Amino acid sequence: MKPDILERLLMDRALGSLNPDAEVLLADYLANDPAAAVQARELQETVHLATEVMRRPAPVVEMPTQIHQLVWRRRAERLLALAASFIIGVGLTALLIRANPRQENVAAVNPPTIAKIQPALMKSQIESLPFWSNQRIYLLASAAANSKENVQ
Amino acid sequence: MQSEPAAIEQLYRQHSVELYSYLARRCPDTATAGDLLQETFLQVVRQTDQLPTVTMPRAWLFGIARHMLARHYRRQRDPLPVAQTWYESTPEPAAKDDRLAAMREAIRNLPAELRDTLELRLEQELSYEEIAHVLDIPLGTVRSRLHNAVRQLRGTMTKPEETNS
Repeated sequence: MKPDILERLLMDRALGSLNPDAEVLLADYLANDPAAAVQARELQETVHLATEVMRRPAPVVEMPTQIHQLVWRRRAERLLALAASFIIGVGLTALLIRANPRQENVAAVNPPTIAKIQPALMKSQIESLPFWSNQRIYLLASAAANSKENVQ
Repeated sequence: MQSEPAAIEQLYRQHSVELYSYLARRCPDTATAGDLLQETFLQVVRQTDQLPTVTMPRAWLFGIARHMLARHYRRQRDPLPVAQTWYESTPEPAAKDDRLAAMREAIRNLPAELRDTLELRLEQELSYEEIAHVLDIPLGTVRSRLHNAVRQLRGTMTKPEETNS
């Protein structure tokens, strides 16, 4: 085995990052190569010492309530953001309706002519209008009123 | 599927101690470490949308904690290298063993990037992939940094023996 490849494998082994299959093969190899086995031991010893220096018992920390606070604070922030978006949406819609009141006025000024439209014509006109438009609602109401009058 | 607060709480239960330990070793006092831990989880709470896509939660948390630590030192305008504090201030329990004292010195003298990578592996037991994620570097760089660090430590540790003999 090439020395640089062997060194890389020994390093990964010492660092505990060699996969089990490679480890078995490497152990077989080391059994037949005393020099490499010495190198492996030295590396293991180095990593072991470094680990001993670096690892200390972790201090105990208790902050269970604070994490709850964080979660709830974030939830409240989200709810506020949603509420703000809703209010802004409603406000903008109201502004748009105020800025463009022409269609409603037309309907309000000319109710008799609309009401006098023949039922078949009215039906086609109703169907051609957008579902939620004020004009459609007005025409539906007029049609209902007409049919009532006819019955009487 | 877990609810959002439950998932965050689970992350907190599983990782807060090791994160605190990681931060405490790099802060001048435990209060700062506690603050940084809280800031780390506050960041987690802010990024809850990412939770379902996080494949390595531990590495993700360490990445955030590391970022918080770096931000803290930037704000303090303190060029103190990460981990320097711990190595400087920790009392010397290794005095009983000369080799441990020598190793402590050797680790302290490692270049910061090598020491940082080695610590994530040996101290926090992160895998190479997790370290790559935390440090935002390629896997090959993680491997070469670790190998370089071990090579340098081994070189330092074998020197006295050679001179003694």
